[in-house]
Amino acid sequence: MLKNHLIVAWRNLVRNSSFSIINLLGLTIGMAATMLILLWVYTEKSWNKHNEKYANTYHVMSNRNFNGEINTGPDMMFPLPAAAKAAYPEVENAAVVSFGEKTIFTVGEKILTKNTLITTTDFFKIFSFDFLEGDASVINDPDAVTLTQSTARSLFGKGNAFGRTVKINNDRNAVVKAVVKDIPAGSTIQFDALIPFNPSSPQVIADQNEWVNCGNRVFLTTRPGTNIPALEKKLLELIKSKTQGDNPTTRGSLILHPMAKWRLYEEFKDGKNTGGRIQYVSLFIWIALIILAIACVNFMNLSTARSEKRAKEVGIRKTLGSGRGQLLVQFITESILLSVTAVILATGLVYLLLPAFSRLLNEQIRIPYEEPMLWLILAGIALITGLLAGSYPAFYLSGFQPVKVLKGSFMPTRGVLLPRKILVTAQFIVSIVLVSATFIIYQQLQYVKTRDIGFSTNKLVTVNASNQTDKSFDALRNDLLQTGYIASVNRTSSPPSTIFGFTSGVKAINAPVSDNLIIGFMFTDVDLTKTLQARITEGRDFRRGDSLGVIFNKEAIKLMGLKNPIGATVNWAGRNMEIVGVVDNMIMGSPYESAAPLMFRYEDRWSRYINIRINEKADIRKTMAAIESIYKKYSPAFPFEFSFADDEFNQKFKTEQLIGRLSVIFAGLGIFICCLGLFGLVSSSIERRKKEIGIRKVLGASLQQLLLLLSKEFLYLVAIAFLIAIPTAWWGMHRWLENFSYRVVVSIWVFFAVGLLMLVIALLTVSMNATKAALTNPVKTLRSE
Amino acid sequence: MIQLEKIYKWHNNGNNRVFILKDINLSIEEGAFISIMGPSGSGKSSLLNIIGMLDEASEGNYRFLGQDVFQIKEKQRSELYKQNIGFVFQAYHLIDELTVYENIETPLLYQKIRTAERQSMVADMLDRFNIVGKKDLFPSQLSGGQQQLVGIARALIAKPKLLLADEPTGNLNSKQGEEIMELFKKINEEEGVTIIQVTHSEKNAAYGKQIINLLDGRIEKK
Repeated sequence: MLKNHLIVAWRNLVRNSSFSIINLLGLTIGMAATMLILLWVYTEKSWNKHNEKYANTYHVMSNRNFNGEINTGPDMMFPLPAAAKAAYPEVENAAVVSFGEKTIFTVGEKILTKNTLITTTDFFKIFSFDFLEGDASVINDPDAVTLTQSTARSLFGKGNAFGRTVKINNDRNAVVKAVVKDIPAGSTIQFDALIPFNPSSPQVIADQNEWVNCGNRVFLTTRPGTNIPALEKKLLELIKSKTQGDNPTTRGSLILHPMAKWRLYEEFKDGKNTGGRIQYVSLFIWIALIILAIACVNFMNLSTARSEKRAKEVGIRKTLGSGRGQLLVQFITESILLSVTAVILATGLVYLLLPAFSRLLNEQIRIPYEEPMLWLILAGIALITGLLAGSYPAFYLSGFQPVKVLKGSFMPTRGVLLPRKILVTAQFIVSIVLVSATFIIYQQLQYVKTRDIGFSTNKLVTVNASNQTDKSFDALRNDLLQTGYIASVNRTSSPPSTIFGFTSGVKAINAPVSDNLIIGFMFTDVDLTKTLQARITEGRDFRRGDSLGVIFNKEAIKLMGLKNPIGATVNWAGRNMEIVGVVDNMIMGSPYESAAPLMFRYEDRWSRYINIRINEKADIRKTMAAIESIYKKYSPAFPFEFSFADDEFNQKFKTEQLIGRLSVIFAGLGIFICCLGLFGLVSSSIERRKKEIGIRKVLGASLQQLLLLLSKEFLYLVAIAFLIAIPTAWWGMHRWLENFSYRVVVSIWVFFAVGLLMLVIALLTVSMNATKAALTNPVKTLRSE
Repeated sequence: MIQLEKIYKWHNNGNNRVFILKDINLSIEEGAFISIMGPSGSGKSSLLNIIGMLDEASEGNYRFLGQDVFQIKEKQRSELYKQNIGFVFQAYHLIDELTVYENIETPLLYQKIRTAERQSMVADMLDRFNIVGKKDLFPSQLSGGQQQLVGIARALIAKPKLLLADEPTGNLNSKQGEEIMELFKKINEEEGVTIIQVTHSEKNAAYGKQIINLLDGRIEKK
């Protein structure tokens, strides 16, 4: 019986190859898209899972209370882990881990900058690594360094790294006593090299009793069954007992952020863990399900569209003794055969597309072949899709009465088309929403990208500073200016794309006190505005020796409530300083936010970055070569590293750009599958109206009149879809845009444009099919039986 | 074998009741060969469909092999039908996607007959109808006469007691029609299969042992 079903199913597929191809294509594309999204979701959800203590690892976060405003941050005090472990038995392991810094490693002539973490002894008990050489005890040796395999290779080539000496930060020597396998991409903890805190260094000795200032992260693992909220309170009590008076940390609270939430729930608002990437993950899970649903709907549509053809077979089988159940089984078998084929094709497609998809997402996405769930899910998708998509056609077809379908030619009535029309309308609603969303995402991106950020990122290059460049900075600057390629040079404590730090300690003398004022700050020296091409609105730029000078941006002046800022005195960190200038607002943080208040403090003894403004007409390649050779002359012990400000600025759009690209892809797929569905519906409607078309032709209808007649029926579906989709899209995008304080106003014209686009696409689809019917010789269609 | 009593069949068309069959009383013994004749719209096919259990009467009683067809459960009726009735159509109604062999085999699939037995039954049938050479062809590769031969073979494969034929020769030329009629006669005489056929042709009707004339849904008294 099953064999007979499969034979019929197979022959049906082969005989109606164009139908089968359309149907399989829709299903395969839908499934492939769903599978890609699910693979991405899987990758996101398996972050950090390689750690053995995944379930019991926590990152200590502090909700700091700045006069009522809660700021959540990871910075913690150095002695906390040791004290916590000693005080509370439920804390199994605890370690201090630095935020990660760039460290210069020198081996002979080779100078490389690598990302380094500095940590304490429990580190390897909390996080899991594969040791290729050495073992976890390396952490107890202050003169040892742990390298990842690729760092070891880049420093020592193919030779053995174990036991070799490497110079760190041009300062001290360390011995490679462990090499670990490269850290998986899905790990929050990332490093090229790992260095222990040196317990005998004066800094660490001083930090042992520093319970107020924080500069590191603290991670811990708990014993199973620990009451986490209670432990959070106990830890805060511990901190309070070690500090005199209160400070923002003791006024606030602590959060033990579990490892399972590090990746996807990374945002905090008002001291609560609110979400983060999970929003996008959930959004795309929905998109995956919707695309699969669209593909299934399509499948149902196309299968029922062929009911006229199958009706006769149903009739015959019933007269031969088949019950309805057997016919149901037969049609469902057919649809499962199709969906299994589609799953196989889709898996192949996913395999082919995965490298491109990984590149697009900039994430290593792989197929977890070893995971039995994968195979279960694949089989599940095949079965569920087959059942779901096959059930409606199966019930519809198997319900035919043999007496009716065998008597002459059978044609479904208008009413039968209704559920299919609803399905196609639903598909169009989803597509219109997706297309509108895509439009608006791109508008927002474009809007933010072309925003006036208060300075120019074009032809602005940022080079890492070193103590060697600081020592002979004037000579270096002169050499640079003398190349003729360079207009201006300036130094800052952070690149122009990043604000160095935030402080709540700035007090303007003789101005209304504003309690919650948090100002971003940055250290810099002369030629700040000239180099960044920022606009001075009042006063002047820094001059040489302005050691007590300070420049604010307009936003900061506004928030401080200063009427005549120039010459006014502000106090910061116990020092009185004079405001020498005011600059127009600069967007150095998120381009989606309104301009943050900023303070520039004069500092000519040290810096982290050298900003170089290249002449408009200078050749970039030659200029960079010149800068490099001058840098090497003055700073031979440090690697030359640079970045272009516009590249750095564009980094800020990465997530949104990705969302934009993904929505283009999925909106496109949605429309495509939708059109396949419309195509199916049109062809079955035309089949039904063949005779009518013939009669009208005989009566003298022109091609245009017939096309209009046939299109009308479907264009109003698109119109209904449009009316439902627009408010939905408007509401959804409005909510998305609320994430950004600098945002585009959603214009009604976007929706008209989308509507027009969909109309054209729908018209094309309909007329592709209708033209053929309208051109058919009526003699053929009107011939009686 | 078949007792029809006061069979009425109508459609409601607005407020009007359109009668298709009116007061049909008919008794058919096993081994009969009956031709139903009458002009278009006289209710021939409707009567055949009711006898064949493809359709229900609006009113009346129908006993088949002692069972009350309109009263028994759907499942029992389906069993009764599968075991005892074979259908032959004017337009042959073979399944286009199946070969000759598979078409003939299909009714057996719905009766849960084991594979080996099925194979021998189909082989016998192919042999009897002289179409062994055509068993792997699809219906579209056969002539009309050959298709109808397959249709009859399929109707007879499950050894029914009753063969119903709705204008079996309507789409065939006269020579092919004659062959089919000869075949019917042979089946009726040699195997005792009861046959009821609907036909337009006096000549074909004459093959039957009894002729029933229908006019406007009534049996015309001779």
